[in-house]
Amino acid sequence: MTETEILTALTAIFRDIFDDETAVITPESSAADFDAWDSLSNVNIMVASEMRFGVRFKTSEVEGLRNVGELIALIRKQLVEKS
Amino acid sequence: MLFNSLPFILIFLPLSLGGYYLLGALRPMAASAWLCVVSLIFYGWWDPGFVVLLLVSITFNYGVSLGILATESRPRAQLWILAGGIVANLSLLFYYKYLVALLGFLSDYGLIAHSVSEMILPLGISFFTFTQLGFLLDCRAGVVRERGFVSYVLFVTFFPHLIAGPILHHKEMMPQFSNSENYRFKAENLSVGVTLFAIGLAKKVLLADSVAPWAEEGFNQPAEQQFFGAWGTALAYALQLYFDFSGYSDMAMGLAKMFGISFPLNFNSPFKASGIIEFWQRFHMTLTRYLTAYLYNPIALAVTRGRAGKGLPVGRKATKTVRGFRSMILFPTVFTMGLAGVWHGAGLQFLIFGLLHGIYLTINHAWRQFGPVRSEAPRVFVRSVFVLLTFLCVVVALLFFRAHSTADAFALIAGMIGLHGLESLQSVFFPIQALLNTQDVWTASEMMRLVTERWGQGLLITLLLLIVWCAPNSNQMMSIYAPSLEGVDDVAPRWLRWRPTMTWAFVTPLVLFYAMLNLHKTARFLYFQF
Repeated sequence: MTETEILTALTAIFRDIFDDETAVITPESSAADFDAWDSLSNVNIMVASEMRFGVRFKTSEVEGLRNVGELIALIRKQLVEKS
Repeated sequence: MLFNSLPFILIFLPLSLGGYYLLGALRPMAASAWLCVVSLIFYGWWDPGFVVLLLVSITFNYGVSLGILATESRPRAQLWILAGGIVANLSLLFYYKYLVALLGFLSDYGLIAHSVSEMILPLGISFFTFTQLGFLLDCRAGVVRERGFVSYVLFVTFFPHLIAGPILHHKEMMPQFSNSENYRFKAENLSVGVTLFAIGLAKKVLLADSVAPWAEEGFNQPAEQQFFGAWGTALAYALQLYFDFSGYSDMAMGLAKMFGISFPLNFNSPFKASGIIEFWQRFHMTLTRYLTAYLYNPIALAVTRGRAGKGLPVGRKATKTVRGFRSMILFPTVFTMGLAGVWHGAGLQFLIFGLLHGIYLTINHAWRQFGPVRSEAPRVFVRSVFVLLTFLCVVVALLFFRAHSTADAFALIAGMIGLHGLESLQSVFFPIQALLNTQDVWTASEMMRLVTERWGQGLLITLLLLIVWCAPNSNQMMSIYAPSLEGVDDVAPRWLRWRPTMTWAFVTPLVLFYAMLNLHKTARFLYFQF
């Protein structure tokens, strides 16, 4: 999967979790850009991504991400390890 | 040793800094070892016996970490070692923090014959135990790279954070300790560090300590407080706690900076928060971060994955149902905050403090789920109402945090809602009457004394409220040099931004010396008891 494909899929996840059909995310987007991005939605984003991409994150990986770009990198890494 | 004591400021600190940079110029490793030694002296100043306990705890945990790292290929064995380490750490904490309370409780109910006398709590035990528990969990998660013993001892004992935090993560400190650049003397680090230290000391000595007597008095006689007395007590304590603990954190950050080390931010103007979720993102931030990483996330992940596994929805659609809301929001939040409350000590009032915040957070989440959807930021007036409401919730919860018993906290709440009646306002208006009554002749100094006597508490509380709501915080004032690990996203107005100029070179030492002149009573920091 390319970075763009992952970003498109993540946009759908973010829109669903923030309940905001117009939300736009970029690799630079971080919790500071979204008021609704709290610890609760963070966990939801991670689990929804796990389901969508068929990967599994470690608990330590759930907390340390600074922005969407790092999440994309993490997902790509896991997809590579899986294949 | 206390940060707010003359021996620390005038002797200990200059010697440790001097030794550090002298040795750092020769060999960074020697400077690390020096810092470990001075940190142990710092800790032992208060009770040398507990240095042994600290060293045993450090050596034990380092051993456990080696075990965890050595069994990476055998997950089952690794889990057992980790579990053993966690149990041992929590047992130590339990022994010192909760055993006396538990035995006292049992003897009150006649279940055992003897009660035990109070036990002395080793300073900082909660903090160094938490730091090391996090480290063990990080070892198992595979995020620990550095394994040297000296750097581990330094990570745990580094005196600016040893006694009351900020609670540090191994992964954010080790790269700093191993960077030889940080062992070289830089004037910038010293000036920024000293300024932060001066701000923190001023917050503690000039603000927290001056409002403390009123909180103290009110909590000693909670049932006698009428309306204004109860409000005065509650506000005085909330402000005392903030200036005390955030002042301590500023000093810790400043001290670390003097040694070339950056700490994470611990306070970011918490009383400016417009909701409880935001409050915890700004108050004792390193504890919030710690609890989120090691308690809340594992629970919430397990619950959410469990739902996903059963084919149930996750995300907004799920949390909008009663069952989803209960399992994904209510349970993890209240559980985490309940434990956070009990972490502060044994006693029903700490549990209530935690549960209250768990409920506040749940209500805040419910508002985000079910409340009106806002497309733009709220207006200033609406925002102020939210800020005030959040502040009130925090003030009420803090009554339980501080009161000697649950009954005392309820007595103060009763006073605050007017159940103990209203004070006669005659004494408050007396200064005005005295001025207007032309027959009495008052000298200016008599008038001043009268005003401070009658209005002092109210004026001081008003001033402190103005500071917490309107003034920039220390990190924003220092924004040009971004002293915290996270940097800053908000800056202070231009005239309050610290710069290496003549004006600041005059103001900073002035604040520092004035605060030092007021050190005569050297009150302990509130968070030393936890």
